[in-house]
Amino acid sequence: MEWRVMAWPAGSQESGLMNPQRWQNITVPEAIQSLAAVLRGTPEFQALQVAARMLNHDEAIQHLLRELEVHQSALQHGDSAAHSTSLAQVRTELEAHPTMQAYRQAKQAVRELCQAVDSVISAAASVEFASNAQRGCCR
Amino acid sequence: MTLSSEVRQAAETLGQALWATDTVREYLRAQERLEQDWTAHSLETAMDELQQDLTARYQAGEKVGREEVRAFHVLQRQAWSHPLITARDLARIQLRCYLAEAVVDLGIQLGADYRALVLGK
Repeated sequence: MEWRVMAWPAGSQESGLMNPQRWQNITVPEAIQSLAAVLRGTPEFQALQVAARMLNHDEAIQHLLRELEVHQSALQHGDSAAHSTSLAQVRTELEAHPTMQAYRQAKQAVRELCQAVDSVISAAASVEFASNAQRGCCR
Repeated sequence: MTLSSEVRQAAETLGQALWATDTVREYLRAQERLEQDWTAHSLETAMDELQQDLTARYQAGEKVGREEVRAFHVLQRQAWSHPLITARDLARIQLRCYLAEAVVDLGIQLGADYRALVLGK
């Protein structure tokens, strides 16, 4: 894959600026690295990191997750009726837990941030970034 | 959502770096050539419209006749054998593979599945 490119500063694509002094040599991996570093420092990503840590250290959540696994595994082995009801109850309990709600909220904020970022990338690249990122031969 | 100038700038820089690659430019050129060719463009538009129509009717529970499906396949074969459509499709496959690598790379460095976040999966 050819990664090294010549990138134009913001706005130059539209205005057709071809002044070599305004060009900067930048590779796609370098641009990715810079963007990732900036994003990791945003309040949204920081909050998600904290929320994920809290989720991992919350005993009640971990207990519910273990229960969830037990019921899911039982269902996969054909033990349906009782486990199906229990599974639904555990899921409801899990989603209602404040730590889980905080995590979901933090994730939603990161999702919105990434969607806004993706729009900017796509506009500058003239192609949809995330939605085009797929392997395979489908049209 | 309003992005900070730092985030916006970093996102624009990545977009511009992608835009300047051979893979993206080749795809954009292939798409432009296709759109400028009346035959290729009409063929593709007709095929897309017919596909949407048949899919919508099928999903609505309507019976889609064999003849209609056969007519669609004829149109599809014509479209897919047009050199400009084939060239664009090939360029699009390469574009998608290329962007897939970039997205995976970004996700690894973020510690999150970037594509899933953006597409709400």
